[in-house]
Amino acid sequence: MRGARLGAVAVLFVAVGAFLLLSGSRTRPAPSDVAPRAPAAAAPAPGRPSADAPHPVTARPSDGAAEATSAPRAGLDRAALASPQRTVQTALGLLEAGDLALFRQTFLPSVQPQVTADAFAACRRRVRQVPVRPDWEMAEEVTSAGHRVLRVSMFGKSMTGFHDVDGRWLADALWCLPVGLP
Amino acid sequence: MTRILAAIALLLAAACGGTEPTVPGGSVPLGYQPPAKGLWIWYFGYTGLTAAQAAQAAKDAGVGYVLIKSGQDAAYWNTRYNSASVAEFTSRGMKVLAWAYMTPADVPGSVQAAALAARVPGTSGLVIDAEIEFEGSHDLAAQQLCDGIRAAVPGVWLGYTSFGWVGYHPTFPFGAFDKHCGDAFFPQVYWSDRGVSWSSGHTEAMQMLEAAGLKAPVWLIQSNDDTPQATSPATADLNAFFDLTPPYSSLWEFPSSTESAKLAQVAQLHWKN
Repeated sequence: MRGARLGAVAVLFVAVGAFLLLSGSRTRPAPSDVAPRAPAAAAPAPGRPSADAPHPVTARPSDGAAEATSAPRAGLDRAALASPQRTVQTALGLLEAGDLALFRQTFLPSVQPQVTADAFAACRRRVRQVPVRPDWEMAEEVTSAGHRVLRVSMFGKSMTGFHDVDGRWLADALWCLPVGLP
Repeated sequence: MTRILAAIALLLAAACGGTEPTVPGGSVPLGYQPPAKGLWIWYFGYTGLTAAQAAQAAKDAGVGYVLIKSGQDAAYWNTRYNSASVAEFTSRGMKVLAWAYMTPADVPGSVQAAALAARVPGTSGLVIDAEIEFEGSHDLAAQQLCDGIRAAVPGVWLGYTSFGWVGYHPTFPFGAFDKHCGDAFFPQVYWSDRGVSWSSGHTEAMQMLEAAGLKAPVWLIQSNDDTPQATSPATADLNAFFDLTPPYSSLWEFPSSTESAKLAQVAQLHWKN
């Protein structure tokens, strides 16, 4: 079990590295990256990882992960935000990689100012504490300001909305911060 | 004369919280003390087990009662919280409480959803989970939520859960929930999440509860979440908390299927009172 988890973490590191390289070299998204998947179709079965990405649980940052970087860089690849599930997986990978600047881009522009270095550090700690297994099965799809929103409980309590903004599903709350402590 | 006295007794019992065989959702008798401590369940898919498997694991561990999530705000989840899933636990000797996460967003809808959960056969009571969304000026919404549920399900045993260290949340409507949903208060004393020792977390929580002057019976909850340093809470520490807080305390939560060590730890906890 431990070996499998370590293996999954290694795969994730490689995937994140390749992903960052690709996103840095691309100036326009490939056509296949543009079309978002419908949330219901993209939702993995409860308790199962999606087929195209590591399970979020395997993406817990290690203690020795790099410090957060916040230097300006190219935006996230559209494919990385192509569904709420992908956005969460991308965010977890960026927490793992210590990439604050790209992590911030997984949120709505209105939320991005809240994604400070302190918040990023708190998020990194939080996703090490508890498994990140959003309740996609009971997620609610609504419409807000003309775009689709999928509202999901990330840890069993408060809901986070993921907004479809031109094919990019962006979070409307800093879902990874601990709530109510103390 | 005997019939009149019996009728009066029944009415009094209903007014005090109901009796097991007659009142849907009100089957926690007045003065009930669980034989063993409780375990919170988010959803069965999270545990990787069916309801039957989860119930058997809980029974084998010695759990006395479980709290199963029944919905969110105005949504009642009948595919998850239903008579069949509840019966898996009650048939193994455990009591079942429904819990629902609720906000002030849609109080009438939340009342209806809560009522549906409370009426599921085998349900012993209902716990409202109210947290950050109720901070601010939401006393009236809290009262309307609680009173609405009580009106919809007469005799229901109705408690609430929220922040564990009440003194840090001065704008949360503890008073309204205490008065109107106060068959029990389940403070979330998640000392491991906070990164403090079980004893200091417990001590501070109790001091704050006393200072707040709340009246509801206190059913403390501890958590098996990892610390901010990513270390699991020690079994001995979880047991120390349980040993100090019988008979009502409980554990958040039935572990994820990805955390086999925590499932094994559940079996080692001091559930029995």
